Amino acid sequence: MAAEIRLEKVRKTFGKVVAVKDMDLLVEPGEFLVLLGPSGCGKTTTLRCIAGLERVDHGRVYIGGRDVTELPPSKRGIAMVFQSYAVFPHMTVAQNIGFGLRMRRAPKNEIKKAVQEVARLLQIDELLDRYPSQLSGGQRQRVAVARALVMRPEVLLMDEPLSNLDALLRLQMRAELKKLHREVGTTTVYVTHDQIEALSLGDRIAVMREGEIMQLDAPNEVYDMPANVFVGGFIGTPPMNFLRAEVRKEDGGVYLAVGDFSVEVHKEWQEKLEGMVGKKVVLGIRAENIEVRPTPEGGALPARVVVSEPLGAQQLLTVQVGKDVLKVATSTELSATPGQTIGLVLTKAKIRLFDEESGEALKFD
Amino acid sequence: MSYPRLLRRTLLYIGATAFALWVLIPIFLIAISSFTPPNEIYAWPKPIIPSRFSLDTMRFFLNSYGVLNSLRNSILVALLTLAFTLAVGAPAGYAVARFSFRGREAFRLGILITRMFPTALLAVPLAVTFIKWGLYDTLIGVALIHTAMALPFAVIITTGIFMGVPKDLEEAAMTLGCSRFGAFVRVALPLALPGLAAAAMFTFVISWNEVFAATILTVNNRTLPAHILTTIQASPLYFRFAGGFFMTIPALFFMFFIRRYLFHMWGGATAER
Repeated sequence: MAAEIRLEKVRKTFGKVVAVKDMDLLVEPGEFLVLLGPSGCGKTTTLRCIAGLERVDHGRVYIGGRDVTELPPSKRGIAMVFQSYAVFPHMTVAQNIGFGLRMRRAPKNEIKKAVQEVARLLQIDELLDRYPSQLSGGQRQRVAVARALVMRPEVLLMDEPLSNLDALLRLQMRAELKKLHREVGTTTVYVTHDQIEALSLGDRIAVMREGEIMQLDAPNEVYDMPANVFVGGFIGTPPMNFLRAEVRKEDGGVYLAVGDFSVEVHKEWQEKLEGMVGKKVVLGIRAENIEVRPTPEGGALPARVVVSEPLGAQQLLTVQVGKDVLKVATSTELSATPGQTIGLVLTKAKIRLFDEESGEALKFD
Repeated sequence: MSYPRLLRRTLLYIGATAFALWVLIPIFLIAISSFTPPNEIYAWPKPIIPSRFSLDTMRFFLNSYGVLNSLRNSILVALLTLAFTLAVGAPAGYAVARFSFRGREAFRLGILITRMFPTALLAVPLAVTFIKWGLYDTLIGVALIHTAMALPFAVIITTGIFMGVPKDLEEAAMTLGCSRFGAFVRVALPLALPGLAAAAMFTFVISWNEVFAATILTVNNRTLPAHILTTIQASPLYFRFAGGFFMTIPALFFMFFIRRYLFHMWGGATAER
């Protein structure tokens, strides 16, 4: 029982603020889709439009091929987990979980059986007689998930379900949610502002900004091939580094000029960049794709160390190249003191180029 | 504790004690007197504690002509007021708490402004209108006026109460198969119930204690305060004490239970948005 979700030109405004801007989105049956973006990007509003908690201004919402745009939440075949859990305080855990089935007028013994089954799945079968005030945050969260799952919904919607848990519990629940999804197989739309959560959970990630989807791809695609500067800068810890560069040609070879320094590019890119000589571009590269040398000898890009942060497994260097500041990951063995000049070697295959004006990635295929 | 702090504390407590005595001493004296045998009330010098506990005074009061009848009227009016007020006030409070609509802030302020009209100013036109409508000297008529008086408070208190029930809970109920109304009945209402009970008690007390409108708008069907007010000049001293004490009972009793929710009201009017 997994349904496809399709949004067609969905728009939602609050006063003058456009929260969702004519969005088209297709979520495949059984898929785990993550809506990711900074706060205020419209991800929660999008979710609420799917749930039916917000009326769309125009556009259509389809669930399982059925036009549900005008239907109330109760008729959409969805279940939702709220950021605040929204566990009913005047009902026991069992009553909370069974609430939706009672609304469906399911037979009592059936409800009881279903409640116990899902409670066992979420390891809260010991707590069924308790009231929410007697539960910890993590337990309430499980109740909220159980209450949604017991409905066997065609679509499961989750609005930042882990954001109120402490770090350790969040890590544990994240893995558990992933496992649950594999077992239950419900189409899931998951809203978060935590990009690690998005990368770890999603089959695909929709990165949103100001009511629009910037990129909709598999996690590794979004990470390695950001569609624009915003996505690159939003995803990853530390985010992608950006260097201002210019396409130049000399001695028959095309290269990128970063200040007085030249960075070689892939052979395949050479001829494609040929037509862009003189154009200003932004060079993007991730911290782990930069090799650090103690000195800028042998053609390495010279950089001045600003800060060095040991992070246990590795150390994170903040360095300056011209006017641009970069974050570079390196082994803890390299000694780098602030003020020291080191050399950087960029992994050619991992370099991404963006248009300087629009910030969009340059495509070479 | 530093000296200025100690001084401030002391002054605060002295002030609070003085204020409490200001309120409590009359209530105490009335209560004592209403359980003193009638003849002892006139005694001089008067003992602070009566020589014996006696229900004679109260019995005399309750058996006086018209008292039981007006007591029944008072209770009926208060219950009618309560029903009208909650029927209108609770949905209004819910609307103000849940929905953002044009003029919401103006509405919240406007509610309070209605309380600024002195009833004395409205008395004559009201009486005339009520006579025209056939509401004069009826319990429903009095209840309607009391509803008008209690409604602002009821709206403000219930707004505070419903603001205290997270919207998420109702939305969760809606995603689990409830209609909007179903979510209200199954989730918001049960959670708001203690607060609503407090609002109901408050309304009851407002109606129970109201004397001016009740006096003007009735002739035969007097409520208890109206009856006492009109007969008190011609009554013996112990009748006045007993009547006064009897009137304070519901207020004392209810205020004790709902004082927590009165803070809701003031908080709801200003701080919460």
